[in-house]
Amino acid sequence: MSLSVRPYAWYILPVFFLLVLMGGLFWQVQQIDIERDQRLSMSLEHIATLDNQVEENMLSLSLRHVRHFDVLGELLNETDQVLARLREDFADEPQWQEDVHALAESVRQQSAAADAFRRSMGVLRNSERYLPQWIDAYIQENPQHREWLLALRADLFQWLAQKDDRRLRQRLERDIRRAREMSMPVLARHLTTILRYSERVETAMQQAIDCGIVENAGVLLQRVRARHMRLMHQQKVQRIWLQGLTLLCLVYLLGLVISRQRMANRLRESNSRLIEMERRLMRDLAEKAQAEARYHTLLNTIPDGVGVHRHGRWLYLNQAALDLFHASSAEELIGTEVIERVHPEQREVVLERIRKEVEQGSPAPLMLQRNLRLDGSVFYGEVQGMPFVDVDGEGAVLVVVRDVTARIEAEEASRRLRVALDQAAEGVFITDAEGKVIYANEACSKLTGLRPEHMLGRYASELRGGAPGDMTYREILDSMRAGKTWEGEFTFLDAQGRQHTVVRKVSPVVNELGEVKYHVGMDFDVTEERALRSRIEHTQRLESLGILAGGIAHDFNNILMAIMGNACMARMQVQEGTELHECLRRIEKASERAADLCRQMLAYSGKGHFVVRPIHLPTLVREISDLMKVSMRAGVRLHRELAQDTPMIDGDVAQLQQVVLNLITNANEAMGEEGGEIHLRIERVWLSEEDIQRMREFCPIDAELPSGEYVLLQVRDTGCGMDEHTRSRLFEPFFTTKFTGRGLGMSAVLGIVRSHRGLLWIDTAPGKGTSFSIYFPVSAKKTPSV
Amino acid sequence: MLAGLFLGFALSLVASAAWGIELSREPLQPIPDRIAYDAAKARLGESLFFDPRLSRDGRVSCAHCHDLHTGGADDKAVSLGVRERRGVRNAPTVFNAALNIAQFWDGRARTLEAQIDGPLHNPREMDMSWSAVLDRLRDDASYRRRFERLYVDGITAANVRNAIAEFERSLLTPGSRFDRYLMGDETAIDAQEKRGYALFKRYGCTACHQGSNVGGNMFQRLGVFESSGLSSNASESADLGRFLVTGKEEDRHVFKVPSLRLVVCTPPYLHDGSRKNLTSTIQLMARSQLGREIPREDIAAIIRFLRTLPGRYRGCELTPKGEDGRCRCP
Repeated sequence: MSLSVRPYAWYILPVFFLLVLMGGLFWQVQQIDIERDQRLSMSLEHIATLDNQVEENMLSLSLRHVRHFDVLGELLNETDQVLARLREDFADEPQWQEDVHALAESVRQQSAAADAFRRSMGVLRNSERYLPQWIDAYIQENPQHREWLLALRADLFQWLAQKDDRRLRQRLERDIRRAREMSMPVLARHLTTILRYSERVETAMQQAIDCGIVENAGVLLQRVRARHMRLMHQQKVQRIWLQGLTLLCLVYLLGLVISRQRMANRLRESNSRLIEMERRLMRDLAEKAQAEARYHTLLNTIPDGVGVHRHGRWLYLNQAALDLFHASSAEELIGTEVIERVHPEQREVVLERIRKEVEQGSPAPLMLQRNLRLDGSVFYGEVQGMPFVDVDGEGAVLVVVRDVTARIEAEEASRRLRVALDQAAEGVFITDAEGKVIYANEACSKLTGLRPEHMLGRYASELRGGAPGDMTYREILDSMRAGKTWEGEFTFLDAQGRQHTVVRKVSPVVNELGEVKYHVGMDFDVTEERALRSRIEHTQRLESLGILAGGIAHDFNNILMAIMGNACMARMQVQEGTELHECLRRIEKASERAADLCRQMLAYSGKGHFVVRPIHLPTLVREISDLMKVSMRAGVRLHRELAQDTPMIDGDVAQLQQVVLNLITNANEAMGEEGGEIHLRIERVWLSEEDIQRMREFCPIDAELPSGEYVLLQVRDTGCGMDEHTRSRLFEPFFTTKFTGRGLGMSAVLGIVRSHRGLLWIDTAPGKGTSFSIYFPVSAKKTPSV
Repeated sequence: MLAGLFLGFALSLVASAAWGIELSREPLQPIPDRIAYDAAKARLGESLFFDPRLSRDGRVSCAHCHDLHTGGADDKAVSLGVRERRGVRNAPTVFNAALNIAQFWDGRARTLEAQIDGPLHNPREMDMSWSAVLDRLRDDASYRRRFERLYVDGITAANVRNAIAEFERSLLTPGSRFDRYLMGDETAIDAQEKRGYALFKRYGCTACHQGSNVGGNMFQRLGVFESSGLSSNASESADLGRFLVTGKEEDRHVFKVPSLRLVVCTPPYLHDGSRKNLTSTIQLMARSQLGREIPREDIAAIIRFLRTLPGRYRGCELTPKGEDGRCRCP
């Protein structure tokens, strides 16, 4: 509601005017000094009274009723004092000064008359008293003048009673002259004194009476009274006015009070409404303040940095934002450029983004942004800008920055870890507490032969060929629940049917509450390791055998030489055709076979007789194969592809012949009754390091072989082929599949190839034939030995 | 009631006859016990009265000539002022001066206050100016404090005058034997003294020496009947009396009638101090003022009467004591 209140002055102004008017009247009334006129009147009456008293006192003195002048003096003194007061009171009224002067003159005259009266009375009184005594004395002294003196006394007393009797006075003056003539000077003197001073006393008294004090005081009194009446009237009129105005003022004030009371009532009502409004307002304000405080607290407690900027400069930043930018106080950032806090590489993008936000008035999508702290360090922030219009109607942008550096770094770390895991040779997988796969790496995928996505959701136990609930599953689960790492080894078939031997380690992942949430499994594929270990063990065994065989063969060969030599010499001394001769020939033959065995054994162990020279392999092979043709099974055909331009190799002819012989023999024997084909092939080939490495793994040799040109000797048959077992034991000494075999042929081949720093590769499968490929390093010499 | 009134009237007649004196009919009146004055101001005035700093040479105070210990006057024909300068008239007593019609022999000062300027300025007496007096008084912290307490405007000439006058108003000598007699104590004076009073009245001394101060309430010409022996060699002008004040011929040789209250205490006599004793003075007065002679025995009686007039001041009776006959009071 609106309450119209007229200015207070409107109500007060009439009162003010009335008061001024009343004040003026009151002042005028106060100015009228009625009391002064009363005082003047009293003084004038008093001075007139005193005048009367002076006259009375003088009369009393003259009649000797009073015999001292104290009272007269006091009266005169008092008259003087009253006059002084009157002079003072009339001092500021010049119009009456003349009358006052007249009165003062009268008083002066009275005073002078009183002085003269006292002075004359003092003298006269004594003379009057003395004279009768002296007359009596003169009568006694001069009886003859008795009559005259008695008459004189009578005349004197009569004159004293009737001083205006001129006849008597003339008679007394004559008497004075007669007294002088009669030598009565004292009488004459006192008589003269009486006459003279009596007149003086009379005159003084008359002067006192005629001094005019009463008249002059009367004139002044009349004037004063007239003025007094006039003033009284004036005062009365003014008092009536004053009373009227006072009444008017009171009536007005009463009206004012009533109207004020009414207004006060209205004001009280309005006031109560206002109080109610104020209370509400205060409540709203308090709520607003609380909300503001809440928002402030909220803004300062939320972990995300919140800031507001306008025209590219910071207006507000919450505590989190200050902390983000490593600012110790808001002053360090407020007013600074927003873009200063953005990594230089992103500034253009960010500026463009802010521009769009402001222009379009809509928030830009969440952006990962590199920001600069005040110390220049960088942090990653997810920035969301929201343009808004503030209470002042001005546009601004609210920016929320979340420091995601840790997350980004974690993500990077995670990514690194994931890559590492994916690159790891070991199969790594993670399952839930039940054992269902939620993650599996590439190695795991390779191991199981399943794409990682196909593994997810399946039980890990299924992937190893088991089933949830089997013994291993229970073992693992129990171990997990106990918080222990489980380790075990098992063999399974992958999706492609390949067998893998795996060492698995499973560890529990425990959350804050101590619950096992996940299992982390790690599969070490030890298939090849196991195979390699077996092969190494095999090779080591072979090497031991070779050393043993070589050592025995050497000594044994020496013994054989002695046997053969002695048998030969004995046979030469024995007749041919005799039984002894035959026995000796058989001893020689058996000894040759034993020597041959020794040679094979020495070849395998690499300690045979070894004469190295450049050899043209095709020539050597042709010669041997020609010799071998006769001993081949029927139905076996020999095909030769011997490239003549092959380079020379360094080798021992006998041993190389041995190799060709052994291989062709084996091939021949591998054919069944129906026969087959034997292919001999020699060519120059190029071996890469990978090829060499592959072959070295198959057939380990000690020497370092470089990549380059090699001479290939391949013997391939269409025979029965070999199974894996046979193939793996092929080069073992004394391993044979033949009924009459000694098991040294392939061992010798391997030994010879090794001695020649060559490489060996076998392709074989049961029923598919066998292909032996031997690679000899090319000789540095060109000249063939054969 | 009527009988009571009659009885009272009768008793008063008897009493009047018994005392033998009717005060209202007597030319002499008793001194009032006190007249209105401000006691505090009077005390201040007393200090000033005795303060010689009020004179030029700092040696002459009011009390120097008006010695309160010797009847309020000194014993010299004319007093000695600053630097021993001789005055021209005999110093009258300061006692009862408040009852006088005016001050000085010639009555030139109507009030006690107005009187003070006279001796203060007189080069033969104190020879001071008011400015000098006020300077000296203002140098005195005690005076400053007392004046400020009693007067709104502090130390001023008017206030100094008033203070001294107030003190002088306190210098009354009531309670004399004669006053007691006047008040009805028949035994206050003896028969000789009563005779002296009667002679005093009969010879007409009371024509001028009357009232409570036995004089002082009128002026009179000196030498009404005979002027021989009245002129002084000291200063002719001083003999002109009130003529010097009014300039009127009839005021020539007119003087204020002196009070006889302490006359026995304050020889020498007359305005010029030319008479050493009362007898010769009374003889002279009889001849010049009364135009007759008074026998010596009557003069002695009158003197005896005069000795009953001094009253008391501060408890001390101002009667002639010792060989020199002065009225000594501590």
